[in-house]
Amino acid sequence: MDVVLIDDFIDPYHHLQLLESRVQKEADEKANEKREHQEVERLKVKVQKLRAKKAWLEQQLKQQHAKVLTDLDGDDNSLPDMGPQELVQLVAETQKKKFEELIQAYRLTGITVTTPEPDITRVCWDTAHKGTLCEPYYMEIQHKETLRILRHSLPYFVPLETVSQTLLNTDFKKFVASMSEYLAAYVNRRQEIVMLQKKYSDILIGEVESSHAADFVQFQLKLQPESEQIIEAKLTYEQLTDIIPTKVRIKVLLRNSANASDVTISTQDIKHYKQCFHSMELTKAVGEILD
Amino acid sequence: MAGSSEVDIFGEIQQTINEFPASESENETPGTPRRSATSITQLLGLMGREPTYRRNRKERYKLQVENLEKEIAVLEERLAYRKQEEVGKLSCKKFEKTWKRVKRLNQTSQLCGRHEEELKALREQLHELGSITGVVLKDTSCILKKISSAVVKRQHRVEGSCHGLRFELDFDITESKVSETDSSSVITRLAVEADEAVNSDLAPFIQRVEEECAIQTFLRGYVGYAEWHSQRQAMFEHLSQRHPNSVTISEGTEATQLTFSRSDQPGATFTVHWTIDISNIGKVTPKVQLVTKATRQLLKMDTHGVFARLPKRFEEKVNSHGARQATELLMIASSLNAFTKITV
Repeated sequence: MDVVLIDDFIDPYHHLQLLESRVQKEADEKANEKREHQEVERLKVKVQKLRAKKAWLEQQLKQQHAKVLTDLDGDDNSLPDMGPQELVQLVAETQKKKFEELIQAYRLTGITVTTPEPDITRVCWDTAHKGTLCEPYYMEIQHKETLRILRHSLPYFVPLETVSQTLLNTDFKKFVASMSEYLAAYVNRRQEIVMLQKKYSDILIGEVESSHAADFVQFQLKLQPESEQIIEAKLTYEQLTDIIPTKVRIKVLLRNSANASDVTISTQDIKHYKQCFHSMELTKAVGEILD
Repeated sequence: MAGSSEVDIFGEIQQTINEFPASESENETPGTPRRSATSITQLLGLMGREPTYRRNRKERYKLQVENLEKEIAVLEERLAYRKQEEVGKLSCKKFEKTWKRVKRLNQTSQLCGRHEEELKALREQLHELGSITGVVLKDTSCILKKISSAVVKRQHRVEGSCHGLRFELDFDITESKVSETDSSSVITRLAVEADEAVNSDLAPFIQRVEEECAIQTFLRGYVGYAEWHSQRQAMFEHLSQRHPNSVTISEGTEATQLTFSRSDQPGATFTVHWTIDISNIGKVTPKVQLVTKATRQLLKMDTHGVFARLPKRFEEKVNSHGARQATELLMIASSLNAFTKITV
């Protein structure tokens, strides 16, 4: 076969291929350019919108609403010089915000109730330990013919079933208050343990052991950092609504190197320690013992 | 022409523009076609730099968008903070009066309808909260003090009442941002003012809750105390009105004892002491006790020891039937000559 003839055939195809890929490349470049152009235009429009929003916000900040509201709040019965629609809007919106603030303020009581849907009531129990706000607990209750608990986030040891059987459909207020009491007491006992560990870490021996419900607490502590005498305390809170222990057991232990004659804690002292635990919260009782 | 940076490009544009003839008459040689640049894009196109310029313009817009979004976020936060601050300072009670005034005006009364519906729903929600918690909140105000971007301090004042006993709380809350999604709130100061009728009774309890900034403890204890207080007041008032001749209430704004005797048997008086103790941790314990007084003569005649056993019997009745019923039963018993066993 004539090689020149084959070459004559190959070259044109090769050129055709090159042409095709060039056309494709140009088409791709054009498409990219178009996309880029559209993207730039979109960004341009976005910049314009954002500038307008910024200008509006700056204008809002400059407005003298504060003075108008203060004037309206005063004892003077005159009303500011503004259009009726604007006045109604301003006063009504402010009144709504004040009511919403009052509703929010109910969280201080530890109990808030909302109605997210017509037949669902949501109860929120906010807990606190002295001035520190702790975690909230929730419950959703459906009310059709009777009240029924749909879901909740209460700890397992709270006697929800027992209390709800007695109170949920007979005295809702008492049911809510009862749950509040259980949760407040649990958080209080738990946080007292946390405070004890934090405040007296230098005289505590090991960790403070407790049950999940913090209704049984056991710890060992030295009366002085260098002391050989150790007090072992076991506190029981018989009711889950107690925040002061109802049963207190105290033992005096000696460190390995100490002798029995090194014991200086008397029966009277132990009686005093028990009295402290019986009459005050955990951290305060330990503070009183150490004084 | 070298360089791919923005600065280089604009320098090159300038150079290119300068190379173009300023006017037809000045530099044009006859017969030579006139060249002119009508847009930067065209110039860049001639220079082969148009795609690069477009890329850089895109980056510039993106940067502008980013900066504007940051500025807007700051402005929105400032506006929200300002609005919260403005509204927070206002008194809820006073502002309700303002709303009523606005509703009465001729030009605004018709515009208020929709807003009044929404306000009514909020009032109902507040009423429900009051009945469930036993606390009726009447007014709240707040002054915001931003300390830093992560710490905000709010000074709050809350006014309310529990079963007719008013209270006022003045406290500070410091909120610190712990992470993006987490923050902690601590009450750092608390001043409590209870109703003057019970202020002295509750002084030790109030002192303790103020020291510990324990608002929840205060409210829980105060609700319990107020409930018993209102029951006691109601019982004393009811009995004194029903038996005006035989019942006397102890003096003072805070009546804690009720005394009654039979007019035909003045030798015996019965005093019901009703105290309400509140511990430092807010636990409320009512104590209802009966104290009997009888003349020596009457006691001599009481051979069955009725007077001696009465206080214990009364306590049992209080535990089973409540203080009011126990007192009424005692009054009925004493008026029906229940002590006929005492013979002269």
